[in-house]
Amino acid sequence: MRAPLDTMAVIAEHQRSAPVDLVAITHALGISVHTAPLGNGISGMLKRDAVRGGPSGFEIVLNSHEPPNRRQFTLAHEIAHFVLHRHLIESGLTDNKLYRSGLPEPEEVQANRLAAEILMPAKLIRDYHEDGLTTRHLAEIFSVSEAAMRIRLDALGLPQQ
Amino acid sequence: MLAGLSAMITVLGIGLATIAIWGFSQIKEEARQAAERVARDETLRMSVKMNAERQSAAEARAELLKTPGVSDRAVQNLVDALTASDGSQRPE
Repeated sequence: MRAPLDTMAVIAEHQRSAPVDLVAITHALGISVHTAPLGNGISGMLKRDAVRGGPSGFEIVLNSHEPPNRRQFTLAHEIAHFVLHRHLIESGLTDNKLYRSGLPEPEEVQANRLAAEILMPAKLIRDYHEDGLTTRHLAEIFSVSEAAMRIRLDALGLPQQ
Repeated sequence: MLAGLSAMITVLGIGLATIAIWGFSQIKEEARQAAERVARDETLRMSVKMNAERQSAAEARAELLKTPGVSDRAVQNLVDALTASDGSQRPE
């Protein structure tokens, strides 16, 4: 039987420097990514598609009407669904603006948790933090808001600098 | 003489028709078996793929559980901060 894809190892490979390149992660996982004007209230979709999907047979579609930072998080959230829940997906799932797709709540929380970990990897933040970088500088390096970096540092038990 | 020739042609015609019908049924049977084989292979391929997906996802979830525990509330706050209108300096 074919060995299962070690998706977490693939992601870790791309978390050696910041900002984390999400498009490179999707390529490595064999997922194709497109942007398209989706309906109002929809942030993104993860679909099984033998034609448009990449080698994995999956495609992510991001709402082109949303701002870049939302699209970035949506991409991380859909990658997380692919990694954690693709066996639960039949033809596809659609995430609304609250990142709810019809999967049970614990699955959505898992996807959010992994999405945050993909964008702001704990190990990499700790490494940079040890170098004495300020919160603002860390936020710039990871291309996130200072508010998001403050919350992440707090969650990791790291003091603001 | 003519009657004999006619009888021979008739017998030959019946023989050819019989062979054609037999041949056609053989081809049909082979086509049916080939279609069944393709369907069986496809089902097996899909089953292997689904098992691999299930196993990979289970391993990833186990890996995620090893990361330091962060409360669901903290995760939601982080999502809110990351998706707020000023949530990123990432270029287009």
